[in-house]
Amino acid sequence: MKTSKKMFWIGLTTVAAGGAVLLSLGAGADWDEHRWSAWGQRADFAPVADQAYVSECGGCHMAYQPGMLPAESWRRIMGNLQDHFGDNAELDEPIRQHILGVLERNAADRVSSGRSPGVARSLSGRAPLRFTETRYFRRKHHEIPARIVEQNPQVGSFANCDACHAGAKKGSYDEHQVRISGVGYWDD
Amino acid sequence: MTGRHQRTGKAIAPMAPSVNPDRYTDPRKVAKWLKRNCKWTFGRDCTPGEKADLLQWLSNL
Repeated sequence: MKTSKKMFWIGLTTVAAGGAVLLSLGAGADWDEHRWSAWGQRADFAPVADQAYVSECGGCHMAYQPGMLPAESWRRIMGNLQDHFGDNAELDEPIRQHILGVLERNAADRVSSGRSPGVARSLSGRAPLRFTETRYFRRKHHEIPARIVEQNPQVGSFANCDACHAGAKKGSYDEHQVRISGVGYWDD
Repeated sequence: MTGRHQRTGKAIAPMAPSVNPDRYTDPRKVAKWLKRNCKWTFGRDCTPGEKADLLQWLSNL
């Protein structure tokens, strides 16, 4: 085979193999569950792309990254869905079990990347129901007056992460990308 | 037309199928929300008749 022809075939095979790898990554559950934000950009909390989690939980509020709370917190939350912070959020048992599994496997005390280990350490065994109740969260937000969040109709609550953190859904909470509605960019 | 969840602020698409044809096309979703909303509102499951009344009313809007 002439060299130029050989190079052509090598090139074509490489492209095909690359495509196959992308396809298998796209279809693999593990990839989905552990996918981080775009192209190697490190997420503060690894986002989860599990379809049931995103549609069932993300249907009503931001699908918080499981790495924000320890496994015991998720067990408490998922064990009381009939009173989910004042709303009924009951799920069929098989899907509840599935989502709880996703949350447990990716919980703050189970993953070793991003901010999760710091959150888990700061809790020293406690299992709060809200990330906003953690000392970790409070330390990061103590300079934000409640007035511009809770009395701000565009935000409403500290639980509304993506109102100010544009990358929240992808797990990015970079403090230099914070924009508070009606206030502007917030950089301290 | 689009509403907002009172607490979370999340957008709620129109409920009437006349403007949102996707509404009530997924029986599992319908069952799930009737269960949640009946229990939250009345503290009990709705009867089949009550569910039918509500769906009929929404479908004719």
